[in-house]
Amino acid sequence: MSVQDLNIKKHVKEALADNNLRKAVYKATSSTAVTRQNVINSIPYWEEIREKAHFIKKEAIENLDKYLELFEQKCIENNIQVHWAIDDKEAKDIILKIAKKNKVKTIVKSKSLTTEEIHLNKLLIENNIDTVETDLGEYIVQLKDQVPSHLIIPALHLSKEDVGNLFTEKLKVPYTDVPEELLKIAREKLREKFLSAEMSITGANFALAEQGSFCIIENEANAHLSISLPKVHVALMGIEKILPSISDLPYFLKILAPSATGQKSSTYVNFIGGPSKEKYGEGPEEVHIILLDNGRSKILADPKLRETLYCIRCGACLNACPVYQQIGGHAYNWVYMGPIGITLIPQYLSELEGKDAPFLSSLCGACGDVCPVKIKLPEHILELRKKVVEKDGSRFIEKLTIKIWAFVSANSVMYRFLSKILKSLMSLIPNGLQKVPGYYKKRNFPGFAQKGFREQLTNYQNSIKK
Amino acid sequence: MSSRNKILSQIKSALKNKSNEEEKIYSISELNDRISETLPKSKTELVEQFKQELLKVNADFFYLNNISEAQEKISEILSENKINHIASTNQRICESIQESIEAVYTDVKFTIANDLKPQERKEKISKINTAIVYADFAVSEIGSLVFLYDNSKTSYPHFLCDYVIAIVNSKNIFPNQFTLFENINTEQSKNMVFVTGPSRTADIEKVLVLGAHGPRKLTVIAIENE
Repeated sequence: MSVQDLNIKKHVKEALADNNLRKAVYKATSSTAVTRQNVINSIPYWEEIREKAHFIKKEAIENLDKYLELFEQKCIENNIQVHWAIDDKEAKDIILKIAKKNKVKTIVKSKSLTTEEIHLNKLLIENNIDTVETDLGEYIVQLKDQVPSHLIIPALHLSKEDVGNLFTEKLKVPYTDVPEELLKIAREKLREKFLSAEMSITGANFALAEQGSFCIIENEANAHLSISLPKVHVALMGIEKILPSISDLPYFLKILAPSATGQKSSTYVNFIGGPSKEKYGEGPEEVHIILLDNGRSKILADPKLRETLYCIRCGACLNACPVYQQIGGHAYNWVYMGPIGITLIPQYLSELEGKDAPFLSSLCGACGDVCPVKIKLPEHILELRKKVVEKDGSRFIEKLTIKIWAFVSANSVMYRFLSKILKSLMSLIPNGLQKVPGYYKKRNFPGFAQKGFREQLTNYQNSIKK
Repeated sequence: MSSRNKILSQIKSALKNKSNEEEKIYSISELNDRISETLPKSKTELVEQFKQELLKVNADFFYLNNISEAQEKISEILSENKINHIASTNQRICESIQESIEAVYTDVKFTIANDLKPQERKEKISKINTAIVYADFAVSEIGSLVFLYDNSKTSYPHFLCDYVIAIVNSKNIFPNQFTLFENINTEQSKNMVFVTGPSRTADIEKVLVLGAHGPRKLTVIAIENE
């Protein structure tokens, strides 16, 4: 079977050539990183909470089958309809079936990366179901016919002028680039949709096995309106979103908001434990939860890499990553981006399809430092590079270079001799032409120092003796 | 084989190789001690912390002695903002405030969400600007309010109105989420919502704007004695 890769290199080149994009991404990521740090400084037991959260996730993932079965049983007791989907196709079939059964014409969606993962909107629109994203950032990227470029800030790559022009073109409203005015326009348009939609589709941040309930965390109140106004609520969650019990949740509430947006707490934490219409007289008559595998059980097979399933999708590693800060989210050409994305891409797809992804890292380690659940991202990135090379095979020239280097560096006389030769050769090449394949093409390869390290050290030692 | 059984069997087989990462010797009591060190030492400190956190999330806060002072404060807010239509719930405190306001302000109208059928409820409540609601609990450390459906049986006034005035009894303010969760009954926890400030977004160039899809303004009134 031929495998198409994601063409990441092409997308990276395009992103690097777009100065406006780079400026926007850098500005947004660096400001979020600062607000994050300020909040963390006010939590004296931050490190202990990270540690605790890591081991709660470990407990959940290492016993995933047990907790999923418990969650299913408790959901059924709460009148939540549980569905299992092995892949994207099955998940889409289930959702479409629910929509058709309920004669749904309009669906309001609240931000969900898992629905992006299965490309749900396309299918619903093809089936003549008016499907509207209601998170402001998602609404903007949907109008622009794009996908989110950040896990938390979907329209981070667009300026307010871009949004102003987009609203004028698509919504036929007078131009404004004032964020307050733009929000007002979106709020009015979406309020009508909330009131008329028959069905909502959301994700789930955490599923609580012992309670058979789940929670959705947000700032805009769009998720709350989505889960309380339409008569049918469908939540799609990856099987890794499970926590053993509600008593584990406070640790995650403590780390998620600071890591995601630099808030001490998100504005809303919604808990859903069954259809509330029958119980309380308002809200959905039906609540469905779809447990999606779509490659996750495959990731579980590696005892070390399964840690990548601990991710709570906060986006902190994106904001800290010097590579993401330069290229933004679209260059990764998949739903998950940044350091966590490059570990997930080759695992969800295949090492061949996602072969370039693990190389979008400087291995500086910042992602591992900020991850609130302490996923050892740099280690996993290296491990996946190894797997990709094993599958894809390294290039002949690369192999040869490494072999020569290994041979030369094992022999000190030869190492010194060759360093001198290379230095002399470099000085013969005129300035501006010292290009090295694979190195940034607008920059020359840095020249060799006039004096090598050994020579400098000998001189230094001599100067001390004197 | 059904997808359920297939997924579960794939998980079971994948998990045969256990992770050999050793759990750090981790003392929950040590963490609890560290958390306890940060807690307010008195009721005054607790309420002050709650106030400061609410101000940080752009909410207003008043700490009053009893329900009559709360009624007076709400009357002031109504006059200042020329509010003449209020959405509320049939909870005891809300009904008591309604009675006292209707006695003084004959032109102020109350719509009780619980009295309306669902379709009519969402349509009518979304046209009303102001809501008066009762919060079951609060968390001082983050300035949050907790609403249990079990008690209010509605969340439309809390979310569909532009301006929400929330009343909370000061004895129901917990210092942090850990203590809150210890005190919430499992059944009640299944349908509830935590609210921290008015709705907001920073999706356009990271500029914070209040009033995304929910309330634009939130006033919290804590009362010492019901």
